[in-house]
Amino acid sequence: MNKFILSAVLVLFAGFLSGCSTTNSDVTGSGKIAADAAEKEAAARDAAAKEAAAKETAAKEAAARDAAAKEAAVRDAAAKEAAAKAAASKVSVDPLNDPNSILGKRSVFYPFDVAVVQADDNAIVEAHAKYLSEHSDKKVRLEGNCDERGSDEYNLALGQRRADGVKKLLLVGGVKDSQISTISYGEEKPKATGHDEASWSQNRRTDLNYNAN
Amino acid sequence: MRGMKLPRYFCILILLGAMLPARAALDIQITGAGEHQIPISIVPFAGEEKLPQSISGIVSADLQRSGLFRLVNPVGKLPHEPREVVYVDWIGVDALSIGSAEEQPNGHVAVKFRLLDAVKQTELAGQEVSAKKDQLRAIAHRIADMIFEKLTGDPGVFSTRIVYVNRQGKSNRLVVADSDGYGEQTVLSTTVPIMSPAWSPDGSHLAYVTFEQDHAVVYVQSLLTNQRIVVANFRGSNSAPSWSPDGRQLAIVLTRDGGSHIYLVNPDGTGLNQLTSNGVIDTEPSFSPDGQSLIFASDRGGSVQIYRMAVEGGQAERLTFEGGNNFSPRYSPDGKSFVFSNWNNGRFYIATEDFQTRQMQLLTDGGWEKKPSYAPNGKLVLFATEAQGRGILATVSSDGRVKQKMFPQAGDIRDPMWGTYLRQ
Repeated sequence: MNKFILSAVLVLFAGFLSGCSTTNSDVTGSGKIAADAAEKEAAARDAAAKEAAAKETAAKEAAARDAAAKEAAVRDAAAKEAAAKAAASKVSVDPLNDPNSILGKRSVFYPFDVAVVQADDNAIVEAHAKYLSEHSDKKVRLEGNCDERGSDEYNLALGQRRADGVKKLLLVGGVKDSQISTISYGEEKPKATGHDEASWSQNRRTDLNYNAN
Repeated sequence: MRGMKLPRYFCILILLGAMLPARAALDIQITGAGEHQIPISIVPFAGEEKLPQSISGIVSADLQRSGLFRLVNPVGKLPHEPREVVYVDWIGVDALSIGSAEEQPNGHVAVKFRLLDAVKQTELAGQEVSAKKDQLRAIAHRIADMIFEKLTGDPGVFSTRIVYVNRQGKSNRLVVADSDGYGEQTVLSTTVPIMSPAWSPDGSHLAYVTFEQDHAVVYVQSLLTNQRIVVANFRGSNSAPSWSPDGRQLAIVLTRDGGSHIYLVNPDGTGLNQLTSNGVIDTEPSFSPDGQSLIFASDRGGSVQIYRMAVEGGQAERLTFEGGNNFSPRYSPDGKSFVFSNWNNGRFYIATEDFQTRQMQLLTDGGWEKKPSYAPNGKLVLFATEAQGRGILATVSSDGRVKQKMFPQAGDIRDPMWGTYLRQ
C-alpha cells in the first residue's frame, strides 16, 4: 500500500509539475513478484488520479485567471481614479488663470471709429477661441466700449459692432454660439476719463468677461 | 464771455447772482446779443422786495436769455400802475412792464402785471392772479412768456421744462427742471448709466435708456404716477427713443438682428416694426413734426452723416455732406430745418441745416457740444457741453447770436432735451 501511495503522490506531483501530463509515469514498483493485477490496479488508479489532478489543475488555473483578472480590474480602477484626480488637479491650473498665458489678456483695442480686431490682437482672440472650444462649459461675455468722440448713441452702436466683431472670430474659431453673449457700454463706462488720446486709446476696446452670468 | 464787456449784462448777472439761493440748481452765464433786440424796461414790482423772490428779476432773466431783448434800466422811475406812467420818460424803449405783488391775509400773493406799448402809449397785455408763494416762479415765467409773445409774435418758452442726466461718480439721476434750471425734480436715481431721455409730445411721459438690466434697455415712465414699463429689452442694445408727434409710436434702435437698426414700436412695447436692415449703424431717429419722416445718423456712407427717410422705411436721402461726422439730428418745430452735432478737427459744434437751401450753419464756436434740441418755439437750442472740466447745459439762440451756459451745482450734465409747452 505504501508503494501505491508513494506512486500516487509521485504521479500527482508529476502532474503538478508538468501541469498537463498525459504520459504514463515510468516510476513503477521494483518488486517483480508483485502481482500484475495489483500493478494494473495501480495503473488504473493512476489514470484516475491523473484525471482528477488534471481537473483540479484546470480549476486552479481558472481560479488563478479569475484572481488575476480581478486584480487587473482593481489596478485599472485605481489607475482611473488616479487619472481622474490628476485631471481634477489640472482644473486648478486652468490656463485661463495662468498669468503667463495669453488667455490672461482679456481686452482687444481699436483705432478711432474702427470695429475690426487689429492684427496685433488676433492671437488673443484666437487663444480664447481655442480655449472656449475646448471648454464648452465656459461662457464669455464680450463687452464693447468706445471713446467719447461721437454721440453717446452712435458709440453705443459702435461698441456693439466691436463686440459682435469679436464674436464672429470666436465662432469661426469653433466656439459655440451658446457660449457667447455680447453687450455694448458705448462711451458710458470709460476706463480712463481724460479727454486725450492716452485715455481714449484705453477706452476703445472689447473686454472678454468670463465672470458675467 | 464777450458779453461781459457790456455793462448792461453786469446788472443782469448781479441780479441773477442775488437771485440764486441754495436751491438754485444751475448757475447761469449769458454772452452775446441778438441782431434786432427789442428795447424794454422791466420796472421792479411794487412790494416784491418782501417776497422770497423778485418777480421782475425772474422776468428780466428770462427775456435776457432769449437774446431778443435789450433790457433798459428804469433808473429811478418806478411806476406800478398805468396812470403813474409818464410816457415821455420812456422814449428809447418799445415797451415797459409794471406791476405789483401784495401778500394777502390768506398767505397768497396777489400779482398784478401790465405790459405797455411806450410808443403807442397803449396797454398790450395784463394779468391779475392770486398765487401761493411757491408758485411765484411759475407766475413770473408766465409773465415773461406773455411779454415775449406780444413783442416777438412767437410763443415764449419760459414756462417749459427740460430733462437731462446728472452724473456724479456712480450716481446717475434723471432730472426734470424748469427751463432756467430751477425746480429740479429727480425722476430716476440709479448707479448705472442713463441715456437719451425723450419727452412725450404732451409732456406727461419720458422715454429713456438705462443699464439697470446690464445692457441698454428702453423704458417709458409716467411723470404723473412715476410708473414705468419696459418698451424694448431684446438682446444687444435697445436705445435712442424718439416719440412720434401724436405720441402713439416711438422710433427706437435695436441691435438684436445685427447692425444697429431703426424700428417703430408702440409705447407699451407692442407692435414692433423694423424700418432699416442693411447691417450698418443707423441711430438717433427724430420724427418730423408732421409725423411723415424720420431723420437719423448713419455710417452707411463711410463717415457718420444725417439721412432722411419716410416713416414707412425704404430709401434714405443723405442730408449732410460737410465737415467730418454729424450726429444727433433733431427737427425744428416748424419742420423746415434740423439741428445736429458736427464733429470736425477734434471739436463738436452745434449746427443747423435748412431743408430747402441745404446750407449748414454753425451756431457755436465749438467745444464738446452734443445732443442739441430745439425749444418748442424754435428760437433756442439746448445742448450739453463742457466748461471748467465739467459737463454743463448750454443754450444758443437759433441765429447763433446769444449763448448761455448753465452750471450744475454738482456733477456732470449729459443728454438734455427741451420739453414741449405745458398744458395749462
